[in-house]
Amino acid sequence: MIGNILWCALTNIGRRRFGSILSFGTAFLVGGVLFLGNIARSVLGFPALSDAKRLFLVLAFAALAICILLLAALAFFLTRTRGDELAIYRIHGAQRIDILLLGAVETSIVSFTGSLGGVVFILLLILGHALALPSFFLGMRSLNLLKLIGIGGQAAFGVAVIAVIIGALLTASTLKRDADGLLKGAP
Amino acid sequence: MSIKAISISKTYFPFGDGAAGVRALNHVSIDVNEGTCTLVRGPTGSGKSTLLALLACISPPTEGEMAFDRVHLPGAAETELSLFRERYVGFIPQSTLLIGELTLLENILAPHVFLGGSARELKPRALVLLERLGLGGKAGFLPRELSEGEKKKGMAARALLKEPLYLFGDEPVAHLDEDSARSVLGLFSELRRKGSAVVLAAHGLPRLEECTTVYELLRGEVVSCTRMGGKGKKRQKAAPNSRRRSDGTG
Repeated sequence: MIGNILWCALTNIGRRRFGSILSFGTAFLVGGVLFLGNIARSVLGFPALSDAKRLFLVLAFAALAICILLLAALAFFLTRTRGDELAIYRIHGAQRIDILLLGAVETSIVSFTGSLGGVVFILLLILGHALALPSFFLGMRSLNLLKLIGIGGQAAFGVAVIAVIIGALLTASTLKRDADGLLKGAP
Repeated sequence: MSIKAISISKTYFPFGDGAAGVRALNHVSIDVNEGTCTLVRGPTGSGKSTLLALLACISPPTEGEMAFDRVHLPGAAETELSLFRERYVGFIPQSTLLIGELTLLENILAPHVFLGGSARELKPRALVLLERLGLGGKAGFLPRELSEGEKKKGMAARALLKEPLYLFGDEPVAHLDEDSARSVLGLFSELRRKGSAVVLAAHGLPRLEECTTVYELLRGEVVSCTRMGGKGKKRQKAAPNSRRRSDGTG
């Protein structure tokens, strides 16, 4: 069954190039921003930077809110175009949970690879010294490469989870209309 | 196995549950048995599509009883109805319902593969069906590159792919020329001969000589039922409906 859902998810991702690229690009951007925010949050724990903590937190939360809004807007746009597809699956006997699972698999594949790409991109910039972190960052034993990778993984996973939750909520609200309602066309 | 609908009604509430409803179907009783072909005729707005959606368990009736092989469906959970559709029902909707981004072949395969079928096993049969419907060279086309008639044939192929026990076609030969209609109806006849029940809704009489029962609908009510037996047609006038409509619309 997982193989069947993967077949459908990969076919959908491949055929919906525009939506997939848009989702990938958004996740790339959000992943990169969250990664930088996570680095900042990690560094804020250092005593030397305690005074700047409030400012950093405000900026980080603002960035997070913008990211979530961006993901929600994109998910809303992409879900609205899929009413017919939901109707087709429903009349052939798919249950709501199956459709939610398909949406979650599609979203997680695209958003995780996108955000991971964003994280790796930022990581490469840091390692290549193209993105100059303040020199005292590099000297501190608590911010080594392994920790950076850990922070990056958290960011990528976080983006995927947020995207899946938003997508699932939107799909579930569409599926409140039962198959006969969906048959009347896209919501 | 059979589907039995006893005095089913359907009221839509397009303006919310509190507002007046629109009665699309009014106390209709109908039997669908395996190996038969049933035609539901009637003018636009007579309730044909609603009746098909109810019989296919896509939509629940607001009144009346539905039973599938002595299993009463109104009490069934949504999961059971979905399973019923998955296992036994093929449905050709009236409006074009194809996924715009998938090719014709993928459109035919996608819902069946999603529900557990093997793409490798289903693909050859899908190609055979497309070939028989004259769409052999168009398996890789997107829906926007197909005509309305070709889309309709694609939806017929999708419904026929798993040889369902019950096939419901809502205007399945609309937009089709004589030859195409014949090829689609030929596939329906083959399915019926294998023991499946075929239920079609149409404005007029499609060129299908094998119809065993013809129901005439008018304003949501069955006005006549004609059974085509071996010794000629037997026409039954439906009993006039004495029940008053509770909502006063319809």
